[in-house]
Amino acid sequence: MKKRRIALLLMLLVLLPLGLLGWQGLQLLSSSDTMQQVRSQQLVEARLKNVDTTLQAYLQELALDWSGRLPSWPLTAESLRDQLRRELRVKQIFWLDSEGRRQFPRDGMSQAEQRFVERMQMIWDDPQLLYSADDNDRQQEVVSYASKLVTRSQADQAIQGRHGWSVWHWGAGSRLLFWWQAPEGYTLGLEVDTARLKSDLISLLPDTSGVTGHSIHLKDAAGQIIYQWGGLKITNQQPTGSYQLSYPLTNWSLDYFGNDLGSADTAAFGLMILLVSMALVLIGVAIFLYREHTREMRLAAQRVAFVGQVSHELKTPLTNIRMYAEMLEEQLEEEPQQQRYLQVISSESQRLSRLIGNVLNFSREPKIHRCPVEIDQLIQSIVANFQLGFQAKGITAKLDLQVDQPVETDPDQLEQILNNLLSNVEKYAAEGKAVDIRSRIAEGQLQVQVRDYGAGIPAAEHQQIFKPFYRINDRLTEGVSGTGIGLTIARQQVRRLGGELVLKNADPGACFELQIPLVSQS
Amino acid sequence: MRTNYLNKLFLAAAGLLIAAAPLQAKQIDLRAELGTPVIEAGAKRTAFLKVSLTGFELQGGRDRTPANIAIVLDQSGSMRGEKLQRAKEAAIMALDLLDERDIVSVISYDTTVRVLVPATRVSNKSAIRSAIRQMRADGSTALFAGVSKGAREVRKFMDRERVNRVILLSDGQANVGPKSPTELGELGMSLGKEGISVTTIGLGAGYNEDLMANLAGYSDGNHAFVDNAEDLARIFRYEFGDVLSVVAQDLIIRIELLDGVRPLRLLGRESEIIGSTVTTRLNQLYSDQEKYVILEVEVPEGLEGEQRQLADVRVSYRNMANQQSEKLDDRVSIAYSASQQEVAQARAPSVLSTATQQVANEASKKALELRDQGRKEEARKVLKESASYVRQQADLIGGDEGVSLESFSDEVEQEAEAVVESKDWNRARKAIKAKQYKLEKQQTY
Repeated sequence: MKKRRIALLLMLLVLLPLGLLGWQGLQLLSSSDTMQQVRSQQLVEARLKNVDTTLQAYLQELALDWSGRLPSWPLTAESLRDQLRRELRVKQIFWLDSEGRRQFPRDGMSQAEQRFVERMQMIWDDPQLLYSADDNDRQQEVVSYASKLVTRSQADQAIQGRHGWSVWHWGAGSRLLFWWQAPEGYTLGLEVDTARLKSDLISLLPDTSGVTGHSIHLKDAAGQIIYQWGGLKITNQQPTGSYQLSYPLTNWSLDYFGNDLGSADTAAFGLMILLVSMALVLIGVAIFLYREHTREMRLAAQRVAFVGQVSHELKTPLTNIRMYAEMLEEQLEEEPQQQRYLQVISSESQRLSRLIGNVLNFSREPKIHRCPVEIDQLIQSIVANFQLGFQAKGITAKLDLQVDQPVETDPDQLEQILNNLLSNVEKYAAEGKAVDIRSRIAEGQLQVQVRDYGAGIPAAEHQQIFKPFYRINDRLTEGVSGTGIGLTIARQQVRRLGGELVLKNADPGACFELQIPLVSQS
Repeated sequence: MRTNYLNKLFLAAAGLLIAAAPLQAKQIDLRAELGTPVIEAGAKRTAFLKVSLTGFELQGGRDRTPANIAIVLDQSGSMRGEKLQRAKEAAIMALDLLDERDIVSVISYDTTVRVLVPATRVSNKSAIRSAIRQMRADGSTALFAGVSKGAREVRKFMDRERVNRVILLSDGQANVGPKSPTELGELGMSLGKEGISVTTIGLGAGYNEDLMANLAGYSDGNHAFVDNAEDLARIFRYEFGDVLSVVAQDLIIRIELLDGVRPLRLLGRESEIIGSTVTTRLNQLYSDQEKYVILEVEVPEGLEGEQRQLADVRVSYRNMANQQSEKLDDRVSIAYSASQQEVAQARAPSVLSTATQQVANEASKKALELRDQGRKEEARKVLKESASYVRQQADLIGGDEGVSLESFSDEVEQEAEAVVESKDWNRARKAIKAKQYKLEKQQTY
């Protein structure tokens, strides 16, 4: 019973701090999770923007390269075709004169050139479309960026004319045009080879080696995946983040999958580790305490067993002493002096046997032997045993006995209870000079009161006095020897008999009442 | 600059001008020949002009051109099992054909791309081998991206003194990224301009042969159909053999037709016809191999005994033996005669034979298109006609060339049947496509 309570206690000792810590940790995690989400969104954005920047840099470099070289291209069909043969990223070249009229390709066109001319009819109809196509601001941005680059790297060689990108939606896909207008007014245009552009962009982007936690898709204007990298397996899920590429890849986009940026997982993992290690430590401590405790308990039990054993062994010689002392007392009726000595001997040995009875009672549970008992007679004989001690201390015992029927109970136990109560009176309440002992049957129970007129028991101590080895720590108990188990045993015994021992209010002194329900004969 | 002297040795009957024997042994051989150097006077005629280039022989392997190769391998889910195992073995075997002069990179692709071995000198073969062995089959086919990354690795050591090549192996439809034959063709064209050829090896019956042939064709690489994975090692050996025997690169052939001669069509290679100028380019020429273009021209009518300048042929290229840019030129003229016998005697069987084969190849392409539209019978008809045309030409030409044309005609007949009756058209189509390609590009394997 006690052991289980201890185990329960220790379990509580382990679980409570763990629970608290876990709860706190979860609280912390969830708040850091939201923060993490915001942060990882930002990081995703930053990563995708970074990709965009890479691709933009490529296009700007391309624009810079072309705008640097185009001015030196001779304006003849033959040389333009020659250029086309050399340009890796150009699918077709065209040349408009300063009036916006198409000069190339015009005469003696190859099949590819013819197709191109048909495709771009809108530009030949209205060349202004070229310069104003799509977003003008962005175009300017590209130009100014390119110009800045030039002024930095080739300070003397300022860029001539103006240039820009132009996006043409044609059929399913979109085509990218680069145009450069000379200060003289004529324009050279390049149709970018879309396949090559895609291939170049792919070769700029990372491959999958080493990228495990996420996956990024590059999609073209038609929404087709051009390229994807990253080791994350994707199963129809929504992207964590998306990003629209800058001009002239305006309708292209990047999709980010996976959430490897947050360290929420590692934080949760850390918490788990903390909890587990904490649990291990606490369990370790609990086990240690439990073992210490059981060891103490075992030792105490051994001690009690030893005391019990010894006390039991003491009983026989003590009984002999008492018997012979009484026999001697009978024989020495004529010698009052010796008789007095013998009385002392027998009363002291009675005291001793009560003590031993107490100890035995405490260390092992006695058997109850019920029989009809004449309560009043029993009380009288017990009080008679104390008479000598009472006389010595000047205590007068006043009896008020009103039980006129035998009561079914264990006389030995009852005697021991009363012995304990009276011995307390003798020891602690001698200055009251009187003790009242009352017995009666009321409310279906046997009630025996022992009331003294001593110093009494402070209210605060009322609960404590029944605890084992507890002694009121004041002048009352000073210099008085005692085991501190008397009342404990008395109460235990009363309870074994099915009753209760209560401390009743009395002033002055203390009043203990013994209440034992009457057992029906059946 | 080295000049080539025109050795105007007249083969009187032929009236043909042959490029002079070069001063130095290590030069490529340019030949411009007419199938019919003498034509009947008095009417417009058509003639086949064959311009061929033959690489010189390499003396042993010591002075071969160093290679810069990206091996791009498919590791999509469909490659699982024997296919991938064989592909790995083939790649590892091919690696042994390279040495420290060469650069190699290995790229694998499925849904995404992994650069297993970034472009590196072939010195630590065991590291490269173990990288190849790492491959695990899974996922889709990002073919375009695989080639792009391969080209990027090649670019790292891009050098005119090396043979720059991407070797692509695929067994499936490109399904991630750009996937149309047109787009892959455009990519091939751009890479070809850059001097990177893409060789495409199709494995099994699952790949898109149009896409693969386009990619190889426009970049002037090789294309092969490998039905059985066991043959991969052999094909790789051929391919590497080709790569390691390149003797010239960046060949530009410009044929300028003179004196009222009009170009009708160009057979074989992709080329550009502007006015009376035909330009075509070859990325490389292999040792001891002939590559050619056939141009069908219309010759104005002439008088008996008249000689007409027909074409100027100019070739510029980079000689890999001495790393010099060199030029060759040749002039072709045609003669008119009233004598049928003279005309017949002057015929050049080898030119006519190749021209016939190329014409038949055009017919084969046409038939394939018809078959794709489900017009099986029309396709068969085209091929039947083609077969009888070849047979007719075989009779006309006679001799050894005639005999080989006869057997070629039989092949066309078989093809005609296959178009209608083949049980496994998918496979048959791949075989036909590969054959067309081989003929068009004069591929050796």
